[in-house]
Amino acid sequence: MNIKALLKSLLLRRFTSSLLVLQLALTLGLIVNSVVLALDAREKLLQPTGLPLEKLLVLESWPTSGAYKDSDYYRSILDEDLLKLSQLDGVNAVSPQIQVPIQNGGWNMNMEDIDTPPDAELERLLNYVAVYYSTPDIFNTFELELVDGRKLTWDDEITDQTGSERNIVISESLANTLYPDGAVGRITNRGRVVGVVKDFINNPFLDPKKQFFFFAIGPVTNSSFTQYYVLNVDPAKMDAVRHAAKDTILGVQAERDISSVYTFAEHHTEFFEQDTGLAGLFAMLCMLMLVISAISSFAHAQFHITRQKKLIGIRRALGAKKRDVLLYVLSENWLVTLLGAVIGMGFIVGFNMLLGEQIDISQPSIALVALSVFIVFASGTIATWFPAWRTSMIPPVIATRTV
Amino acid sequence: MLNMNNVSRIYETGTVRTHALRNFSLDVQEGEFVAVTGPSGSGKSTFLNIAGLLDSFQQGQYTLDGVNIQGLGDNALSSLRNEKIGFIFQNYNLIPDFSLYDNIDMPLRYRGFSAKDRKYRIEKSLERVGLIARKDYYPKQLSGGQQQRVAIARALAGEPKILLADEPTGNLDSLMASQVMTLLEELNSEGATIIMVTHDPDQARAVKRNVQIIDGEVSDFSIYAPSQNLAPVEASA
Amino acid sequence: MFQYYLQLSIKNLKRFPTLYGLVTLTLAIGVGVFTANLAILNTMASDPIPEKSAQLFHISINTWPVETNRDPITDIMRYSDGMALKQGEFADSMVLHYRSHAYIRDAESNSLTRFSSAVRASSHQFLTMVNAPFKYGSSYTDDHSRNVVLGAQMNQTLFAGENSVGKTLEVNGELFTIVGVLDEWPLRPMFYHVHEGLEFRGTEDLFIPIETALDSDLAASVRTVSTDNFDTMAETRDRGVYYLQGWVELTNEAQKQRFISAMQGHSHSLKEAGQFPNEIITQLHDVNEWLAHNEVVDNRVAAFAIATSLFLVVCIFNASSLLLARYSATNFDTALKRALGVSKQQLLMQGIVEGAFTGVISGLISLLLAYVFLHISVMLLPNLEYVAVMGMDMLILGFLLALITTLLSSLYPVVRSRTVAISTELKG
Repeated sequence: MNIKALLKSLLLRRFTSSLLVLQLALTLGLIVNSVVLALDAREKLLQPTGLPLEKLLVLESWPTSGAYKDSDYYRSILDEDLLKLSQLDGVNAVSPQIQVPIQNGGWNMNMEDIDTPPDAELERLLNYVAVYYSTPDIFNTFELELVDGRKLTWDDEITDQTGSERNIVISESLANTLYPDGAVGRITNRGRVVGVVKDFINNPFLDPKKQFFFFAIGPVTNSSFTQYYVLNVDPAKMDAVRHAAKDTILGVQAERDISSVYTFAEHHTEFFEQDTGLAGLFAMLCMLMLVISAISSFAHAQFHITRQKKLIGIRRALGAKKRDVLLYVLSENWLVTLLGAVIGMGFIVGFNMLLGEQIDISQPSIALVALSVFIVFASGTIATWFPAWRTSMIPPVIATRTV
Repeated sequence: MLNMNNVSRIYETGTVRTHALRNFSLDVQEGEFVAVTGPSGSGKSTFLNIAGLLDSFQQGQYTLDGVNIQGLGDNALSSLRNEKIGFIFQNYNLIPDFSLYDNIDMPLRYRGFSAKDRKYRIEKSLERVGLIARKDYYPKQLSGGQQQRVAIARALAGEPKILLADEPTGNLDSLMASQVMTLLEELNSEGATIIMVTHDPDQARAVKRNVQIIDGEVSDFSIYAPSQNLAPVEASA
Repeated sequence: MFQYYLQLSIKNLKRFPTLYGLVTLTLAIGVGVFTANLAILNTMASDPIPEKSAQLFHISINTWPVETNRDPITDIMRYSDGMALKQGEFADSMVLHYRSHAYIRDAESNSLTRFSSAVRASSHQFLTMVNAPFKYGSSYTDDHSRNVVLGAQMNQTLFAGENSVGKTLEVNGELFTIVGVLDEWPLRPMFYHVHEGLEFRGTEDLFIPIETALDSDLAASVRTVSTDNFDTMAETRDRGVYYLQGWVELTNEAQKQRFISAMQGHSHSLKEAGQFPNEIITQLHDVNEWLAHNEVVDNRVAAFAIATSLFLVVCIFNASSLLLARYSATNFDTALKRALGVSKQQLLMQGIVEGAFTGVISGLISLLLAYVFLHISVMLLPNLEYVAVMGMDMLILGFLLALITTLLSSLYPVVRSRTVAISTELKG
């Protein structure tokens, strides 16, 4: 392979060749970063949540009648709702809540030991402990795993006690943070810890090892807030339950607005749709860029057919085989791609940095870069194949033609 | 009409200097028919390129129809070429996608003539070469001789001061060649000034004045008796 | 002459249809994607109230009563804080507001269907301050009145768009009178509330006086942080419940300084009373500063903008290569023209006309593609739904961009073709 001859041939068309090199470099930069974005998004989706996503169904409702302002009335309706829902075929557990996990924000309170001196500084995340006021069924709904103490029962229902006299169950990371020597029996400003459960992901934006939340028994019956009914359903019966749930509620009392019904799997996907969506946009752009670079490679290789027929003919007349000519044109594209790849390294890093100023993006791995370079090489070869073949078909007799 | 004085055209490639034209002097009067001959590589093409304002030169002066072309920019040279010179090429050089009408129209468009004016000129010149009936034909529908006649019509339509013909019959068979030569002679007798580059000695013989270029230098002589209208020309070396 | 150049351009386009097709398509795609993204960015970054944006200020003040290391809460305030500031010369130029939610219906309608509506409870000067466009009637003038203003879409839903001023509205079971109906009000971004992702969701369906809202227990459906428990909204008047936003209209620097003094004064008086142990933070952000501070422009869109710019560059390079091939193919024509007396300048003019003509075509296609990409963007990033609009200014910009990029692509090829070696071309 005569590199010098190849380079000379490229230098003949300095303009188009350098344009192509730049195009390939930019394409490489984009491909690598797009794949990084896609992998990042995928990783977020694959993070274990600690929740049985495929089994959970959520129903959001708002009371539309003023009658619900009466707390007792609301409670009576709620109790019947829960009863009727639990009777549906396939439903394992139901719990009423004022928020659901996998969210950014929600209902939070601060939590500290009752004996904490008033001017002590609280660890920042202890200011944002998620509140789950519900029925004892919540442990079954979320399939929570007990690591210490016991679960809550109806005996623990909040009545008139002050905050610290209630019985609560807290998350494992919260327990380890507040009471590294053991949390059960300790008293916090929000209640007495009677049990500790394994973490689930309440807020994916926060440290996954510090998911602070606590449970207390006492369903909220305030008509100003959205009411969430979370159902634990056999996956096989999910569709049926999904269809029946709304009518079941409305059958109990119709003056409700069921604003949405969704599975937790859908909720989880939707939470990350910004990331997956952006990855999608980048992927689309990638495709387009590859196509455009392929067009350029194609046009670049056509040069031999349009402007260099005589030279190719002379080569053939002097003994070059068809295969040699084919390889010659292909190698030209490979050389251009190689140059593009070298410059492309700079674009990959630069582009990654630029994007990093706007969004969170990981750095590309060597394997990924290698794969992308291969993709660019492959698409260039495919694009150049036809012109290369056509060039190899130029007959040697052209060398002696005078017209 | 055309006056070149001590013109030299030098090509430099790396360390080699080639004198394509060397101290070349030529004076052509209005109404003359000059044949420029010489072996290949002698500088005939270079002379024609310079005469036709297609190429520059390093030394000497060139005056065309009273205009000294030294120091003229591209715009001025292009206008001069457009208005004063009529080119006739060996391979006709008609644009294949244009009809005969449009081919002749093309240089006229750049002169600012009105549509009416252009139409008149095109039709007149096509009539002169006997091809008015085919004005909407395309070049590939014509024979070589016909195409060359169209090329001549194109050269004539702008009423140039001088016709430059580069081997006008080089691609034609003898019958068509003689037709074209007859046409050129007719034009000359009607007053046209013609410089024709040729390597065909028979053709050269048919023309009153011959200029021979050997190794870039001119040797001007008349094989035959000079025309009565012209003053005798000095030989210069 | 221009006409001739145009004729020749059309002829050339017909002569190289695939090539010009690729050129226009490449540039159309590049410009289309770029413009679509730019349109979204433009909407996000635009000044929603240019006539007043330098005079309306968001009030940021820290009054948290308990010593804490949590992030200072400055964007929302308590009722007591708001009232303390809304005094004296600022009584009428300052407003408090919060967002709520209610089920409403036409009180006189036969149907019992109640419609879910977003509610903005505010001081009575609010709607005038933010230049809300009225179609019928006007704003309520008293913070305690039972007069309300309806948004355009809700008016369409409840009253088929008719003039409903004077009609009775049932809100969560209580009755109110409509005194005004707004015109379509696409406020992007909704600068007066840029949290909780509401900045591009559209303005509220119902506007109600703030005191009445509190008395009617319209719950805050926005971020609420509290140090005290409370059961009704009316109780928040004298409890530590943070949920209100404060905005003030200040017409000159002197006024601004006086208001800042007022804020400082309030902070100090709380400190002296032992009710505020934390760091004093008092800030005023005008509309554009507030939008920037809250990073209203979605970073993802900005990130994609970088990608689309690079993509456009690649498209220009591609088009340029293709055009170079096209001009190389016509070297004979060019040489002939030169021989026959066409000047380089005239050839350049011809190239420009041809570039412009091609540019117009790719411009039109690019606008079409921009719409397609806008839709794709919304499909992939659904929260862009309310921002994905292309106004006339964007359309014109996109068209011009296509024109310019086409001319840019043809620049080098045209310039180079003028200097073709005439004699070698013509000899064949």
